[in-house]
Amino acid sequence: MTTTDNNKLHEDINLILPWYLNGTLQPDELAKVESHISLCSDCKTELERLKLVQSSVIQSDEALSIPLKEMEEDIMGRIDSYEIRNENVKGFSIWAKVSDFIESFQIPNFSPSLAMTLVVVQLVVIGVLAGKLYTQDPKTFITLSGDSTIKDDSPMFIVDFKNTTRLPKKRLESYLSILMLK
Amino acid sequence: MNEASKNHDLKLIEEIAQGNREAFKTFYSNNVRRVFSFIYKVCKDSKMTEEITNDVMFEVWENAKSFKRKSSVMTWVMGIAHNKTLNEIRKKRPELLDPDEYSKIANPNGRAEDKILQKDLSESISQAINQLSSDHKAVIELTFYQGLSYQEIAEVTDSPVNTVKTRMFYAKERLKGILLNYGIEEEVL
Repeated sequence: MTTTDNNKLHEDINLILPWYLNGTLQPDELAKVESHISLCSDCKTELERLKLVQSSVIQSDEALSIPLKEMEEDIMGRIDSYEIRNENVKGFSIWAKVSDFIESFQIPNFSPSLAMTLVVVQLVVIGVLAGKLYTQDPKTFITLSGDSTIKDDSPMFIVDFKNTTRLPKKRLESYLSILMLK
Repeated sequence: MNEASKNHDLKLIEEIAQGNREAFKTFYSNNVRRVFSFIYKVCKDSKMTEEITNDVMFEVWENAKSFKRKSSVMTWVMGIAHNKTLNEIRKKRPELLDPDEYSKIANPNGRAEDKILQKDLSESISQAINQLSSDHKAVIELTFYQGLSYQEIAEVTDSPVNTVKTRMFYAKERLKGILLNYGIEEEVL
């Protein structure tokens, strides 16, 4: 092995020494580090320094005071509110179906809240389109059977069809002709 | 972290995904200290740490269903913790991300060696770690306290493996510099 190779190996080993210390290296790396450390005094010294760092990190954690009780109450309270909110949302059968349908695909990063957002967007779009039909002219309605426009000066008729079957055909036609708005 | 512990966490996450509150409570009490400790050491703010820790745990409850088994549960959780902590720091304490600025804040009166000289080495190292930038502290914490491999740290921090190694290298270099500044000779270290 040349000096350059040795230097490169030393640098590589030096970079992974912290993980040699925490015992997470792969077996092949572990073997390389152990064989190098046995010959390299610099790496031995570096390892001793890292041990000091490690023990200092662990000791500083022991002094940490955590308000566990309050934090646990807080998190369980948040979960309760979240579940109640979720139950309310699930109460809408359409949302429940859409949510379950989307979740069945198990799309990565696709959360129920995103699905909910999409549903809301759809409802807004439908609402705007429906609103547009009514706001253009409040007296205009579109029906499948034809024009049903009612104008301001149009006469108003109340037609009682209860006994129409008994009316002679001619009389019925004359009534209906009065209703023609043209 | 051993295999049994990893499997136990995975089982708990599966139960949490089914909405099991008891499983969540167990998971919470088993892991809250690790998460809290990591966040606190990076942001050094108790109130912020409490909030972020519970935000992380809440995300575990909310997203347990979408947990993919590509990594260990703790790698996933620490990844959430790392992201949330850095986001909060960016919003509320951006100076903690800049190593030079952070040194000034952590050591406002300049000559820290006068105060620290009498304290023991371990405490000095701990104080020196506190002066590192958030990124440097995170890699030290994840390695020495959380016991993660460099591959796992790369996942947690969403960085390439080589970045993790070089970040650790610069964290160590900076640590040495700070300790020398405290009057601790290199031979002692």
